[in-house]
Amino acid sequence: MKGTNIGELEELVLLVIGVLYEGAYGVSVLKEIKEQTGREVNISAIHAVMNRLEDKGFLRSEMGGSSNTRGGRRKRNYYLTSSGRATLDQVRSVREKLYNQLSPSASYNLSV
Amino acid sequence: MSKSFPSPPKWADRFLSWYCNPKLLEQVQGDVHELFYWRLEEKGPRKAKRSFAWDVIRLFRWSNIKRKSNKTQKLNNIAMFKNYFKIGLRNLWKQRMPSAINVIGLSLAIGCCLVSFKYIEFQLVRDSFHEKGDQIYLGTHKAFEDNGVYEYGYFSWAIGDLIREDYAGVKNVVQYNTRSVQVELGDQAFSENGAFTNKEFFDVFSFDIIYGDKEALANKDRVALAEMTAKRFFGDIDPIGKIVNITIGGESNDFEVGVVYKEAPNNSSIWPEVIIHPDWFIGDADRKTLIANFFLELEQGVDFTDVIRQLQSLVTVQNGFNLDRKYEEVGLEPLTTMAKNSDRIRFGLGSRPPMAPMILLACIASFMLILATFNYINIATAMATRRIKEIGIRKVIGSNRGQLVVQFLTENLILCALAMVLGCLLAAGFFIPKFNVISGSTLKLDILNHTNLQLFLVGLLFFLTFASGAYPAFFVSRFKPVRIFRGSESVGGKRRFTMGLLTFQFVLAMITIVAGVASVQNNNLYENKAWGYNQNDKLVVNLSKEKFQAFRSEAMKNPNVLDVAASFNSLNKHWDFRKMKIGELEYEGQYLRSDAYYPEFMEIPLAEGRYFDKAIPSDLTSSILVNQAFIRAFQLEDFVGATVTIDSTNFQIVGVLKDYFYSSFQDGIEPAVFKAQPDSLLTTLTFQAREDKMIELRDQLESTWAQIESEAPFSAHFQSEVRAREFEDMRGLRNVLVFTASLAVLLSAMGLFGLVSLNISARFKDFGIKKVLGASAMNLLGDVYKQFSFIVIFAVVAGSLLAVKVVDLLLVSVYGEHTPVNIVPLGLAGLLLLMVAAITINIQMRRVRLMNPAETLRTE
Repeated sequence: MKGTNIGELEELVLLVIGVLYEGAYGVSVLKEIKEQTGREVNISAIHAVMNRLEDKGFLRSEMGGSSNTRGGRRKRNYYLTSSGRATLDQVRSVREKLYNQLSPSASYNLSV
Repeated sequence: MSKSFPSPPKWADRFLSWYCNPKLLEQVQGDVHELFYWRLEEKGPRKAKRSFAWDVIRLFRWSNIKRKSNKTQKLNNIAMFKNYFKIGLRNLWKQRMPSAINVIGLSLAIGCCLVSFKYIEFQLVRDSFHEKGDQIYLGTHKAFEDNGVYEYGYFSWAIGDLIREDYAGVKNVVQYNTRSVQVELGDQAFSENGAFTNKEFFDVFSFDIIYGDKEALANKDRVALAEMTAKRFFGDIDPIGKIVNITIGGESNDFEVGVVYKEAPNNSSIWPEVIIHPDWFIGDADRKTLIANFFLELEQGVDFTDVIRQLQSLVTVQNGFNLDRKYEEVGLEPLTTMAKNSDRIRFGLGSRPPMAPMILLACIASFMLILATFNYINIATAMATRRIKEIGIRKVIGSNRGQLVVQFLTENLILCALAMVLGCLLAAGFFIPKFNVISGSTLKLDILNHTNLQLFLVGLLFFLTFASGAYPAFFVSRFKPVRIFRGSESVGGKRRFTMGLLTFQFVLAMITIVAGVASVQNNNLYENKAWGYNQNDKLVVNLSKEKFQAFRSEAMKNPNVLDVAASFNSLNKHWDFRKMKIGELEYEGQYLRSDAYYPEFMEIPLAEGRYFDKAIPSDLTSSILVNQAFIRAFQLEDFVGATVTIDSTNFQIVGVLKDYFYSSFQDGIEPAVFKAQPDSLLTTLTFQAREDKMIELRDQLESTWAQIESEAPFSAHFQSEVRAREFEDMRGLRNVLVFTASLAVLLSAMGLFGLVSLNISARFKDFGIKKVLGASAMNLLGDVYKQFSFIVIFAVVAGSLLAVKVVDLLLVSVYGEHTPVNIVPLGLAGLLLLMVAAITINIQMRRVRLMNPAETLRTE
């Protein structure tokens, strides 16, 4: 098993698959990311990330149903596993912990 | 497909199906198709198509690409190779005799190959040790001389100075003059190769400095010595600051040793022993007329064609000097090709390696390789036919032909690797040291840090593996299992190919034996050849004109001296060719000055006329003796009255000497002339020693010398030894050829032995039955004999015909005039081959004779 640290795109894909719950596969994840964040990610990147996450044990997958637009080809559906969920929780808590330490009073000069 | 409903670009789809791992293909292809139709609605067909293609290309990544072998298959392969190795080793062990023949044969051939590779590489790769080698160029110019434009490897010093000052892209300029100088320290004196150059020499060329600092050479009274030279004078100590006396062209001066450097490896074209400040070379000479080789080191990255273009301005400068020498063009020659092109560049540095020995060695190596490879092919084929059941079973179990071929090649690789190791050991321990002695070279087998050699070894290993293993592997793997088990595969059937190879081997062996015998024959002829004069018991001493008389009168008191004569130089050590003219005819000939007595003293017989006579004054001024070749060349009917003009002086011929050899035998005899001179102009004394006292006399004269002359060293040699070098070379060549011939005989005999042995083994049961029925050993082996004796006899005949041509070529290039290949070497070689073949077959015959038929019939 690879390390439990995940990158930004990995986190995003993991979240989206969680949100989609059932019916998460390559194209639906891609569309969802585009809708929710406006980011256009290439399908190859999505596949690579999902494969990696599955290797890490955060996702599991099975072959699902087919549709006409796919020329009768089946799709591979992905599901969030409990360790995937735990990782998301952990990532979030780290973020929040750090966020809360930002001083609300200080003004950060953004214009460097 | 309708126009209203576009589909994804076909090529991209196909490409995807081609590369994509089949396990992933369905989901990936589904996804891209779905995306395509989605984009079709959103963005239109053009963009959708482009995106589809882009997606497919982006998906072309390692994790998606299909790979032929997955993990389980790989493991299987390793196991299989392990099995091949095991079977291969067992087979080698099981069939020890043929395997040993193969390994020994191949390792001998590999040893020969290594020697010739080392030698050829050493000869071809010259001046390669300089770190900046690719930036160093020899300055050249083209000029008109002798009715043509030639390239010359030097500049005048004035031009060299200009290049140093003016030209961009040129980092350093080093002028290089060589001249033999005499170096003295105390009572030791040596003649050394002196180089006149500046301290930048050490910046440009990679000569490692051992002691001292090159800056010391800026002072013109300091010199640099090569390590070996320094050792000769001072032993192992640091000689910096010591004083040596160097005589340059008659002028002696004291110099301080400033630098000691490691000398060049002997494939270097520049090998200075003493480096002296250039001012000593110039003296008062005009820099415009003085010439030197100039080396230019260019800045890194500068294109040398640019520099050449700039340098063309020197043509006008040189021609502006108003000297005889007019440049047509200025050029640069890379240091690395300088030696190779030294034929083209006149007065350059370095010399072209001699081709003849390289070709000879390459031929020998390839002969050996061919012999050993053929042995292998024959024996391996015969050996494999004994394993025909194994092949059948392997095929039935499911291995295909390719796998069988791989199996046999693997076994072959084991054997070749074994032979390789043995061959390297042989070469390092035996061949190369012996070869060094013969050729006077210093080759070493340094496998660990010699990239070319490593490449050669690996290349040779694979070449041998395939060259020797391919035929047996394909031959054996062709058998059909059904026929094997039915027993109808005719294994030992017609083996025309095998027999052809054997014949070829014997032909090669024949040629090498003939070459060996012919060279022995010619060598003996040479060594017993009359020199045309009496070289025995003559001691030659070189001395200076000043001490000539003193030494002569002192030496004559020695009781071991029977007689003495003086000359300018001794016969066979003298190189003075001059143009000689009678009327319109002109020839170049050897010109030797001596006292009046020398020709008679050397016992060169007279053909006509008389020797010089001291009593006749004109004999010392205007008379000459000529040889018969002279008379032939000038077509003189009668020598009396003929006037010979040499260097615009006229001479009368007083006598004709029988032809004698004044240089090497190969050079033959050209016109030669003796001119008598008063003793005051001569520098060599030849003493006739009492019989068997020659060595004693030399030692005595050496002490006499020490009393008279303290400065120059005593220099003497025996007249009978002037050919030592020539004979040594020939003996070396003869040894190489004889050695090659014996190897060739050994290899082909081994091949024959192996084949006969396998042939007999395969028919052992036949023999058993025949024996029971009362056949004699002769009956049994009749057809074995018939088969092989035909091959040997055919080979002897064909080999003889070929050898006459091939060996003759060799003899011409080595000996010049030689006895042609006659019945002696041919007969000897044929006899030898027939005998070896007969013995080989008879050893095998013994097995059959001693065989107990009951035993062979009982087994199985």
